[in-house]
Amino acid sequence: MISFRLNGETVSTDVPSDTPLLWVIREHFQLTGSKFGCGKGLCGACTMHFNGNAIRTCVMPVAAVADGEVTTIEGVGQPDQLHIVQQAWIKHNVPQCGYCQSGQIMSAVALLEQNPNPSDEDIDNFMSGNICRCGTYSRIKQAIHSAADAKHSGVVLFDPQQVQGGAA
Amino acid sequence: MSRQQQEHVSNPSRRNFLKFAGITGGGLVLGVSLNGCSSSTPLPYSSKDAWQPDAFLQMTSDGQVKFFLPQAEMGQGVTHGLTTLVAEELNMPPSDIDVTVAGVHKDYDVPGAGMQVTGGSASMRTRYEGVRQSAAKMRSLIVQAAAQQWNLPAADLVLLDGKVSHGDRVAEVSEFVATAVALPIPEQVTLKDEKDFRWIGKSNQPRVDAIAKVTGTAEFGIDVEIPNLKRAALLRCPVIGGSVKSFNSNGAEKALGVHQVLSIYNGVAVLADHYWQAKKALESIQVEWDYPETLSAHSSADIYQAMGEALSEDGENAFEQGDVAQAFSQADKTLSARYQAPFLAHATMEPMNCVVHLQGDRAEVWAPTQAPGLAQQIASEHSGLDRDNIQVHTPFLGGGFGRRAFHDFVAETTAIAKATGVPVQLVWSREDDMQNDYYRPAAMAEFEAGVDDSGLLNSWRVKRSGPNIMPYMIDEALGMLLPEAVPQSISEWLSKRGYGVFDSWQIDPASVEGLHEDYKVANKRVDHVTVDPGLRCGYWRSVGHSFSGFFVESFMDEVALKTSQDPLEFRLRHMDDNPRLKNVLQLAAKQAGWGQPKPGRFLGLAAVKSFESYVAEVAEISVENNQIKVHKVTCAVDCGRVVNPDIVRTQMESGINYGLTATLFGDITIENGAVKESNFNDYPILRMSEAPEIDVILVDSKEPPTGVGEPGLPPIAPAVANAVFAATGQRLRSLPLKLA
Ligand code: FES
Ligand code: FES
Repeated sequence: MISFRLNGETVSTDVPSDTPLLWVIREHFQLTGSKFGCGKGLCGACTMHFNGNAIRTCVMPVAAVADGEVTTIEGVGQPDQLHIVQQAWIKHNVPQCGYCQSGQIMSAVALLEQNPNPSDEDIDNFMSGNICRCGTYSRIKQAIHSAADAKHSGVVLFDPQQVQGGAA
Repeated sequence: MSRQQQEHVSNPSRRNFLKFAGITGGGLVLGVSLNGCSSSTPLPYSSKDAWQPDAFLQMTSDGQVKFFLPQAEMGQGVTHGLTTLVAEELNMPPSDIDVTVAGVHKDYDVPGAGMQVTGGSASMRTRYEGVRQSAAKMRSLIVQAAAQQWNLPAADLVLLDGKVSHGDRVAEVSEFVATAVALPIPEQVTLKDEKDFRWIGKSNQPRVDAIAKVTGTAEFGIDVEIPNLKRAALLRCPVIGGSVKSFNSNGAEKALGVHQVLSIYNGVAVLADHYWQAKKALESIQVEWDYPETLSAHSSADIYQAMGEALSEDGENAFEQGDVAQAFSQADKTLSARYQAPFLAHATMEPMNCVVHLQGDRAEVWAPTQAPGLAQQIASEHSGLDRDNIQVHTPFLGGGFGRRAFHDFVAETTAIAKATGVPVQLVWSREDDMQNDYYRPAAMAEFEAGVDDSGLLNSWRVKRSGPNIMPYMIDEALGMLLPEAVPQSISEWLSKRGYGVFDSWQIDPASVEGLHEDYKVANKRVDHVTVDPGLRCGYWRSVGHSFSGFFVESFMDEVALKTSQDPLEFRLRHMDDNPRLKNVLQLAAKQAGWGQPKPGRFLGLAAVKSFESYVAEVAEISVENNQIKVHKVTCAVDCGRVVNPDIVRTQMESGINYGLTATLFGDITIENGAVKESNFNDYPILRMSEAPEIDVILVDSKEPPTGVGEPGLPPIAPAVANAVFAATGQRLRSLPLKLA
């Protein structure tokens, strides 16, 4: 039996200890926001946080997170309570197909926690493990800068309760 | 009530995306049917508690507008795009419309295409009028109903944000639904005047699918969950098209969670409780394969050699205008060059996957597909069930780019479901996906140009060699194209004849598109020689333009420079018949500072019309340590009326970055029929540190809107190659670009 904290709650599982965390989270705990892209740690679609660090969970055996703290996209924000990074993503129209975006956001959140004022180069370095086949990179970069600024100023970047635009 | 379930993608009340499984069209049943349609075939999704004038729109008794989206969302923004049209005509925010992806029904066929398909950058172009008409009719009927109830002239009433008003008098639309049902549906109504547009053409609109896609709640095919679902993984022949001679499971069926090990038409499948169990169990299985003869006999080197040799054959004539031979003999100068482009994988971010649930004489299929009707057909062929008894659900697609117009993943899943009798999800690994694609056909072309003494082209001759897509599409779609009465065995036999038969009597338009159209030259000729090693090919973002754009725009540059002309001026001299392309080229060149590159930077330009849209791009690059670095791309696009400026911009960015992967890295190679590349380590995708800054200029136009999913791609490879020539003097005629 392996126990860990998942989005703030203690959970345990008896799956074989070499099962990749990604599949445990997706199929056993039914949190499907984290995606499968390559299975080899090459694309970042499966990114979650383990003790605050962005990790590729498709190559992380579940045993490795025992007693640790795992956060998934579901633990970062909710549709009616968006994290500032998620707000920035919407404001900058980042998602296209959206498949890579949970992983992108998890990486971006981890980056800003470690480096609240990243330069373009910092962002490039930190985010280059996350592939986006739809090519949303320049918007991701802008969104990360916006989120960093908003974090300092406390500005809301997107409020889902507000009907957007379109003056009659 | 239709048997079709609804796949909700957007639910405004929760501002969230719902799981589509289990949501049905039912609900509150009123005493009176609100489905006012008198037609004998019931509309899909018709419901007793909702008024549904046509297949696209419904208004429930409480006034909620539901839009049945006839196209697949694969990132290109069609959900937001078409919902914008509905919102505009109904004069309400797009985010207040409940959007559901439509199932299979003939009413959802793309006008003029005869089937329900998302491709060819056609959604906005083909749906703009129809969807607006549909919504405008609903608006007109609601206003008429209000006029009738209030006994006022319809012209004095205002419909705004779900309410009808007359001066101070205001009422919710729900008050008029029952009256509207009884009104005759007008043939044609006047669309909203563009000066009143609130949504069309406006920037800074969050996409209606944005919240779901930043919170992990958007449901993709791989996320589908239904009761008792088992997971499968499949071991296929290393050469596509092979089959199982015999296999030894080595006890795989005894592994934890594994239910069954079985062979299907193209491989050995493991069925397990969980994906990882199935995937792991595959490792111990040994298979003796029956290799497909033709493809197994080929490797990349001999394929390209054959394509090169074919260029000295006559081939089939695809296009002819004037007298090329005579013009050449009169030319002041003639030039020629040969170009090459490789096979490419789509590498959608979401690997292929599918869920099939066979239930007696009917079935449900969840397929991330660009053509749900084809998915239905393929599931029918592999289950033996009637097409009409198979319900197809289309979740979000984690990328499409043409890959999901082909349904081998539906065929496999259906075969496994049929053999095991349980609901099955098949998930492909990245390696499966890379090595079992329908590849962008490789292509080679020989160009010859004659230039007169004023420096103008007087003749243009091009011959392309390589495989065609059409035979592989025929293979896929024949069952659907033939009348249902034709037995499957006959259609199968016919489809296998496709390669030889098709190639010898037809030119696939996708093999030659874009090779001559954009420039004015009096004498032109295009020929084609088919060379098909048997590696299956498919539609890859921008299709033939993905290579012909590179060929033509590289050659134009060569001719310009070899006749001592500026590449921009030389192009403009041949664009009098193509004013919209000329305009975007001028715009992009001006904005990018053509002729005045920054120190250490070099510019290259290209312009291509594809899918009725006009795009020009200028690439700004540098070469450091013999590496090409693309710093900036300036792009100008004319796609007619811009419905969603943000989406047009993002699609240009997307096409450019997708095209840059092909420009710099993309290369699928073959060894004894097997694809060698397997994952992102040996088939690299452009990463953030390699992605350029992109500046997009939108042409303000009142022409009918055209698509943007693909047209951003074709100009990028030649723009970069032309800049590389400016930087290094090396003319790179083969993709991906590799410096000497
Ligand atoms: S799925 Fe884990 S890095 Fe690609
Ligand atoms: S948004 Fe499609 S892969 Fe990133």
